[in-house]
Amino acid sequence: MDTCQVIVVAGRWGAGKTHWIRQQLAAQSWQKALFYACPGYGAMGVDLVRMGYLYPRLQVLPTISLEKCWNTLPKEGQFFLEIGYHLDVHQLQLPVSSVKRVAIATPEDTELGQWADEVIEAVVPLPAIAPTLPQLWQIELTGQVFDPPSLDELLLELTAGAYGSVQRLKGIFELPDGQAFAVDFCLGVEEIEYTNLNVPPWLEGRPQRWSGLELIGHSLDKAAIRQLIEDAVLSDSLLAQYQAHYRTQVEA
Amino acid sequence: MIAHWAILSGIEGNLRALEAVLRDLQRQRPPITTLYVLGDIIGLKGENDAVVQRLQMPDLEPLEPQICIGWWEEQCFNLFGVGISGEVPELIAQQGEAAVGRLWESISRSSVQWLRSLPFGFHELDCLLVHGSPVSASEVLTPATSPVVLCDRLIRADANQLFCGRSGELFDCWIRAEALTSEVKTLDGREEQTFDLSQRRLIGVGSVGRQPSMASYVLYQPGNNQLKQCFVRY
Amino acid sequence: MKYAVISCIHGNYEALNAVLLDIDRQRVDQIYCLGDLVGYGPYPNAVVEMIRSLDIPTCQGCWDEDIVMGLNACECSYPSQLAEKRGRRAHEWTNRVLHPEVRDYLAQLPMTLRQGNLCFVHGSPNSQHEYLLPSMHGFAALERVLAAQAEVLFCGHTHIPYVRYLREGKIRVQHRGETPQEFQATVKMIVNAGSVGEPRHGRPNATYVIYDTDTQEVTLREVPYDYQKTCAAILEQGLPPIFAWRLARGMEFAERADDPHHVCQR
Repeated sequence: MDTCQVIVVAGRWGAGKTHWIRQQLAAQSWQKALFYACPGYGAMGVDLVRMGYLYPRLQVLPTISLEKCWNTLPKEGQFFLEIGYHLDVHQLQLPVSSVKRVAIATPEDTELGQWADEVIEAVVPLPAIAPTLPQLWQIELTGQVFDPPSLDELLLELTAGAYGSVQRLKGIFELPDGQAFAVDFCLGVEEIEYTNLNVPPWLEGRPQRWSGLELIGHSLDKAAIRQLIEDAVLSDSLLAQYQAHYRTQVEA
Repeated sequence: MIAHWAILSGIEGNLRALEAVLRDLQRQRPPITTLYVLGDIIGLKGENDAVVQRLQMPDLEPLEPQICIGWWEEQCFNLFGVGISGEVPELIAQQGEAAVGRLWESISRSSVQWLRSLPFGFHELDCLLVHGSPVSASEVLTPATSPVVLCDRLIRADANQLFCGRSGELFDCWIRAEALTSEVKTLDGREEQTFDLSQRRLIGVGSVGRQPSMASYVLYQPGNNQLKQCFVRY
Repeated sequence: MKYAVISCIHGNYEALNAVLLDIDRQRVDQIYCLGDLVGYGPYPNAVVEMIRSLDIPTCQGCWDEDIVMGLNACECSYPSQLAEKRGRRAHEWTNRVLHPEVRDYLAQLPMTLRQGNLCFVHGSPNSQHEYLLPSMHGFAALERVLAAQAEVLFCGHTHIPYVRYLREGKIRVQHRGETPQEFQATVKMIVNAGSVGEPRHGRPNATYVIYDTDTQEVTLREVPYDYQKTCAAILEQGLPPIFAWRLARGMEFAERADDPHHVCQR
């Protein structure tokens, strides 16, 4: 008999799935092992990496597909499984007995409502359900370090729709002072949320830890976005200059 | 140990004057903890290479010499084609045509290279130490400079004490400004603001080598803000 | 006398036309231009030819200087690496299309123009690259007006128009052991002409100013024009599409350097 309780969390983009899981984690006493996976975003994704940084005791499971997920399922503990908006919940095979289905939804999301054991009302008003699902585009940026004012401009332009209609933007970015931070934007919510990830400063060469950008939107101009990123990241020589400067500051 | 700074400028290649000042520093109490040299290490007053070498000698190491460039160094960089401009109009205007050849002859490439490694100035505690002004090594600041210019340079200095050496004079002067009303109208509204400048200090550090047989410099204790003007006959 | 002062046209012919039409209606005696005729926009030659044909006294902007001297603007002119790379692309394009006689005209433009107690500059009296922002320390701003030996200093470069009155400043200088000297400032004025071709006040409309020497009144003008035409031309000419996107929103590129006091030491 397996004693691992699986909590499957589904909802549209921006509904607040990760937000809800974070609320559950905040209420934990961490007596039992806790796991998190977010399949459908490649081996690594912004949510997975960010959750790992924010909750050092949470075990995050890099999973490309749902099937792989079950193979790595722990024997004991509690397992939060976040289902990307682009995966169909009805196709989910849940080969374990102890499963709770949670939908973060509005009354409009009738299908999700039928599927779920528990429906949590979405924290923000969601846009009307569109006939076509927006596109998910992930760009891995591991090793890239951004010029800070350029990154500000990049986020401003992306979220204001200069390169297509962006509904949702999530990212983890590295800065020349060795810090990394997470960015979260949802269309309709005015403020872009910035979270310092409190990672050890990386001041020797290109950071060998995951960073990246995820966009959910329509008609994204990928070539232009690639150019934008290329213009905003630091060259080897500039990065070395910055890092030398920040190393002396750290020493002082 | 109590922080006690010796601040000099304007050696201008005058090795005898420099040696006299260095001897004078040894007998100062409390002992000198840091030696600042605010530019014009070289000039036309003697042996430029010898002064450059003297400032790198190990006996000065306990004083951790902090050396920056001055007007003469900038002229030298321009002359040797490693400066901002390839020409030396200021050198000719202030020292005459003959100075160009004399400066060229007076200094070795290796000395020029060492001078090139020096910074523009130092920001330490609430002090800025530069040769001329925060704007340039050529600018002369004295208490007689236009008060508005002094205000601006102190704002740019972003420091309570501004030490400078271009004038070669010794001075200690206090500047404060107040009650400037600024009214700004834009397309979207109107805003009024009052500007003050809390009391700031402008300090002229004298000149080691410019005046024959009389060197001057200053001592400063950052702990109690005490300034002492010193003269050395040689 | 009624003066119209325009600045930062940046190759935007549509905007310039609209502003000149508006100036006509205001019955001004003389137009002055504070430079940056070229750069970013699709019609640098036409803009310069228009300014020349109307014989408008013009001082040299940082873009005009760069196009003549070669791109050696110090990094301080750009607020970010992104802006710098875009600026470089705009520079290369402009450099390619500019007619030789237009280049010669830009090369001979003066840094400063004077008319009685009025002084006209692109950035500040110190440098075409310095930004006189309305938030600059009042005494530093006062120093710029006095450095220009003027009562009213006209500048551009920030792309947001404003008028700033500086009144009643007092400075005390006390030399050790002497009686303090007091200095009382008289009223001075800084007028920023905004930008005809690349506004940055959050709307796409062109901006400029009118100054009446009799009443000393400054009017900030905002002129709507068909910016979509300029946007279309930007795309047509193969300039980066982001220029058009930003123009339509009143978001200029090189908004300002980090340090507004920084003076380019090239």
